[in-house]
Amino acid sequence: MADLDRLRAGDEGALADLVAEVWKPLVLYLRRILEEEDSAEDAAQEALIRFWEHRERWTGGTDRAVVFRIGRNVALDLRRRVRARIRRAAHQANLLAPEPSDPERDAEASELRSLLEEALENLPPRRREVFDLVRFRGLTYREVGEVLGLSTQTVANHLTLAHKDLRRFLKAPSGRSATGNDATEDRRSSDG
Amino acid sequence: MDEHIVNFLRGRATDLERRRVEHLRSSSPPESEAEFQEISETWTRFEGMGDGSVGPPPSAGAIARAAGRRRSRARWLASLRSPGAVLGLAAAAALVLLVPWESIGRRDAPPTGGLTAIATTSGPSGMVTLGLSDGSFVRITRDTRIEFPPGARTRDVVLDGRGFFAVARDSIPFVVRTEIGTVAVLGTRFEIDVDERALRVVVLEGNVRLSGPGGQAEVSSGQVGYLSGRMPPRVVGSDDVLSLLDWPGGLLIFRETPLAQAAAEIARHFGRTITVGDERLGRLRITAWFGNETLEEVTAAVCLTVGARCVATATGVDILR
Repeated sequence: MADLDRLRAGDEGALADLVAEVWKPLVLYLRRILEEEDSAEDAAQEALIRFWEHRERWTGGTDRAVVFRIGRNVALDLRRRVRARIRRAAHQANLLAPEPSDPERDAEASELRSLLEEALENLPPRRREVFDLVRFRGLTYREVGEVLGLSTQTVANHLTLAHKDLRRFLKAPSGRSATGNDATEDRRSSDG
Repeated sequence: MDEHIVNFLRGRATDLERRRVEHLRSSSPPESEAEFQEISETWTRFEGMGDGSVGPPPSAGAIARAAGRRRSRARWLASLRSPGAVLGLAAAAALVLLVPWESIGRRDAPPTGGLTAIATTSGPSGMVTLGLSDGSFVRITRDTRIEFPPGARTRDVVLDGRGFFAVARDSIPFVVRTEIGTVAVLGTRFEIDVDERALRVVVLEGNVRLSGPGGQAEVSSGQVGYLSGRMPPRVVGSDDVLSLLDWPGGLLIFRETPLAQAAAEIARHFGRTITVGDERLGRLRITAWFGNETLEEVTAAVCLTVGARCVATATGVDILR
């Protein structure tokens, strides 16, 4: 992990270490929020720029948690803007030549949509995000708490529930409708 | 789920964490081991699931340079707000500048040595509105970078991001330069949205000339122009260009705009009806920008400026002589 003090002091070597460490997990995490490859890389880059732009501000926590938190905000904002621009995109779609579809890629994407992916998609959003950050991005509970604004105990609760949901889903014959995807449970586990 | 179990499953447990997990598995109740096995199994099944290929990371130098540009932009904007550097800040602070076209006529003296920003105001979502030395206004979004090259012979602006321009009429062209291409005008209102791949210009009033590596095109009021790569510019008409200008808090910026048109945009902005009494009144031109004012405040300012009366109606406002 890069040293936050070195980063705050403007050490570009520390920035290079941080970029090397977080780039891939951050892009993959943001891709799950944005569901779009190019935008996720743009959002990750934006997060790193903002991190460096305001580097003197960051106190406490880890550099990784700060970058993930900024990235999450950037991605959520981007997602909102994308929705607002749907009308514009529709207008532009009439003008720009459509991208030719790639049947091979489409088929591949379809194949990759596995049962496990489906199980993850069926988790309540916050629970899925906690699972993603802990299981796939390697963040500590404390870092996940800093990214999502939760206590470490709530992170632990979410993870317990996520595991139960996933287990239930994977054990169910059809896979579907087996997770505890209800708002009440999600709210209860977020209260900490 | 305790974090030491997660660290154990990651293979990153400390000695203490490992001992705690072993203790948990060997202690009563016996379901503990079964529970651990289930967690372990679920954990393992998702091995590699969250992985994928990503593009190469940007270099630290590129990130530092981009951040440095933003910091210098922020310092520049802050310096504009300092009392000694800002001219006309009092007028800008009121968020409204109104001058009837008939009273100012055309500018005689062209700007020399390039444009400068003489007033700034902040708006919702980090937007900034700049009053320029030639009388034009520019509103930019939070992450937009804008520069005014010193010593330019034309009214030059360098834009990276999104800006709405209300350009003062002048014989000296007003040129917006971007990485994708340029937009040149004499006096008009338009929006440019540019990123590293494409440029879009939406023209609300007047005409602009769009130039890129693939050629040039005129874009007129009610049209939208696109530039992308080396392709020739594309120009299309739109039934409703205002709907393309989805700025936070709306967009009421007028530069020598006929009152009739300004009234139509104000009416649309507030979702009310505004009637202009007669054609001659509708041809008077106004120059103004508004922030968060109410319909009453906006129309009162307009009526005061053009010497008209504002009469509230059940559905909106009538502007009468």
